Amino acid sequence: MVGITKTFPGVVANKDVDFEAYYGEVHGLLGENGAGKSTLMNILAGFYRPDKGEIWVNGKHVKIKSPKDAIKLGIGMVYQHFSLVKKLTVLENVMLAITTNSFKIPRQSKIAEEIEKTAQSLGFSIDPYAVVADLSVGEQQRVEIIKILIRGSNIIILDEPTSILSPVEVSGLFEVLRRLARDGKTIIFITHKLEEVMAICDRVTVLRAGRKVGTLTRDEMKSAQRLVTMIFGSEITTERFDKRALSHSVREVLRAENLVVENDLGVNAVNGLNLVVHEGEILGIAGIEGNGQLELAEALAGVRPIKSGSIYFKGRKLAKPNPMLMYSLGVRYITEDRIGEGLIPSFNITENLILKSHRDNNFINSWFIPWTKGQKLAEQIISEYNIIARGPSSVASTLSGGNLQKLLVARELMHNPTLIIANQPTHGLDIKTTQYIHRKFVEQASNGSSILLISNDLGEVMKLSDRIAVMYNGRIVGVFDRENADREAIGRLMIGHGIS
Amino acid sequence: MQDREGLKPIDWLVTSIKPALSSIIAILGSIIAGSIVLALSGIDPAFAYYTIFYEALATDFGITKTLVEMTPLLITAVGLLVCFRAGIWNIGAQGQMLIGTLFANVVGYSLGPLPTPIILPIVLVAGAIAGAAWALPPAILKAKLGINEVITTLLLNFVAINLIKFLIKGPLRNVAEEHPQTYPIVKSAYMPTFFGTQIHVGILLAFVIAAAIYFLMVWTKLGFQFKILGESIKAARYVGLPISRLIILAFIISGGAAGFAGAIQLTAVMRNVNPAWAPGYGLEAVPLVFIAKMNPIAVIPLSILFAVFLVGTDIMHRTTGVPVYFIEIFLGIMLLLFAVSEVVQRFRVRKVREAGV
Repeated sequence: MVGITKTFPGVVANKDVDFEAYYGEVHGLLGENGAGKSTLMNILAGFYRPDKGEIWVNGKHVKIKSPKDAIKLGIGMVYQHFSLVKKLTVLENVMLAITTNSFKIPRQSKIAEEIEKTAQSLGFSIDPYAVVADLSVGEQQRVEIIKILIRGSNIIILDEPTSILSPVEVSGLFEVLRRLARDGKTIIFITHKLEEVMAICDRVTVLRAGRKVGTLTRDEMKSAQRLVTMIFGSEITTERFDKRALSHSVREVLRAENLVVENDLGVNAVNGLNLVVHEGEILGIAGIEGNGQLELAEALAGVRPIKSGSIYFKGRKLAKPNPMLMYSLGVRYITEDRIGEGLIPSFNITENLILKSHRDNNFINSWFIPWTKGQKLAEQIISEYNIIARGPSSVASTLSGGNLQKLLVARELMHNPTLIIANQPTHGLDIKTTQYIHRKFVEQASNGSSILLISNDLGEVMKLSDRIAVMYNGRIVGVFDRENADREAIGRLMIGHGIS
Repeated sequence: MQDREGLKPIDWLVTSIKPALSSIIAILGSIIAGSIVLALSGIDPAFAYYTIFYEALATDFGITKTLVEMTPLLITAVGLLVCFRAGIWNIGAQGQMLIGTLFANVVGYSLGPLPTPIILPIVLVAGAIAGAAWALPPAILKAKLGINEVITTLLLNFVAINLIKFLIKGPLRNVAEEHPQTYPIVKSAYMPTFFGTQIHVGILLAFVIAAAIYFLMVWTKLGFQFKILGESIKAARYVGLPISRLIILAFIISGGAAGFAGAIQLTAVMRNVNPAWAPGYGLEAVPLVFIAKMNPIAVIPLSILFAVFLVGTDIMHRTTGVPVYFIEIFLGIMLLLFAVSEVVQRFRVRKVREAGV
């Protein structure tokens, strides 16, 4: 791939990226969230078309206009969310993949045989007649790989394949990948975990902010320091808020002990986590997306049940946290999922503002909703936060993304909360709105609220936090005070380097 | 939904017609499509529609009949509205009404001749309770196990139809009558009427219930919570709403309304139940609520319109021989057109928005 450029409205996802992978190698594609890894590979797989640039496969200049073209060229991609029909058997799924665009249906028994043979050559076995839904996630992933192989792919792209696997399954997958490479296949392995790159990849290409930083060979990879610098850049953010006069007290607001929380797939996403939030501090959680941050936030907000461990609020153990209990304790939750969870698009501003507080007897102490009161509140919030809207009865879906987020933040900051859990509070917002929300957070912390700030953006975490905790694989792997928060040290922990 | 800001009358008109556009298109379109069907059957459409509206609205007999037909339709519809607003697709109003009616019937003859102010409310409430009880199994299955309520409620309709057939022909049969039917309710349980006409108190009750549902949905916390649940179950979880309880409550309200509607029909019109009785109210109320766009105010005129067509085609059938099935074709086309214009409208809105941003 030469000089690939791809822009989306408002974002340059790839800029003049050159990428080269050889036969028989496992090639890592490394970078932060939003570095442009997935975009680049989606271009190769035919899902996006590049604005500029050329693609060469097997020495030939090709034009990939659709996934079908990519399949014909022997390019196959395994997504994080598999493209398998869960109610069908392994065999049927493979049949589906190979019978597209043809009236001739191959003999089932022949394909079944082929599945078993392919599996065997990769060092495992699989029952072609098993229903996909009954298989474990790791097995489903293998089915995806087999499907792609039987379709005749020589270039196999795996998009963060380990994020959903247990450690045992990961080493199994690596074994499969090594065998494939030995057979001459090209494996492109998208990841943001350094240890995995070092464990399996023959070469690695690093992307940062849509551009290629460089490609390293196995020998060159030995220096983790160099990779970290390549991923995160060497420039240290200087932009930081002044340390607030109020030196954060030692009185703890929230404590999590040995917290274990499952994700939607039933895997322990938060796995024995310990964390303390003090009064009036902004505690930043740095980490790469998918290391259990979402599950942690939801567990602390009472939205997601905890599997084991305990949560203490001001020293009192909470038997069974639920959203209503946490709300009444003064815990507010700015969810990452603004539209649909945090706000309801078909509801107007007033209705969205009282989404939670209508149940609060201090706010409304009757069966009825005093809409005029809500409307006044909405008017006040609209002018205070400078939300661009026609009025309190403007429907949320007519607001821009920045105004929606202001509305959500405004609602959660109302009535001087004790603790605000903010998950990706400025993700995808313009600079002006981002800065506005940052100022609001600092202001709120100065008023004595604690803020647990979870963000994929390390710069944001460093800018706002009094303390920074690094989350990796469902655990806090390091805590830094504001004074000695070193970007490189944090970056290393974020990608799991130096953690035993 | 309600605009609580001071808008100019013309703006108000535009903003209030816009959301009703697909409903208006559906109604007008089905009238046009209906006239094609009529013309193909060799009937002058203008004459047919004139007859329908004239017979249903311009004669004393017709207008009475229209109001009487509207009553169970309106009550069932506002009950379903609560359910649909909460994102629960109860298709079983028909069965809930049948069971409610039969139970009200049994209560209505077995309590003996109590005075009207005592027995009538008891019979009506009995209908509501039985209707709600019939809605309870799907409610619990949905709330606790997540079993799809469309299937359970729809299938329970057939169970209800056959169950009451069995009961009427068997244990509850009035042995004094030649044809299978139940014992009639006692005279004192008859719904009072006004000035010797057939206009009965139940018609007023229907409007009172519609007003109560409007109040519930617009002004109460419970109604607000139903709407949150219906718009986004994720948001409901995020807010920490008691989701199971809300689901069961919505079923109870709509099942209760259907049973109550049946009990009104029983005390005002039928007095007893025969196995041939298969009212369509529970089924017709479903498209009605959709075309009303789940708006508790719009349900009222639409119930009247549906009743006009039901009564008008019935009379037309008797006088001119136009098959009574015309109404089913008509309602079918209306629902189809509504669905299409909804999709088209949504598609256009999205296109405009994409172009604008």
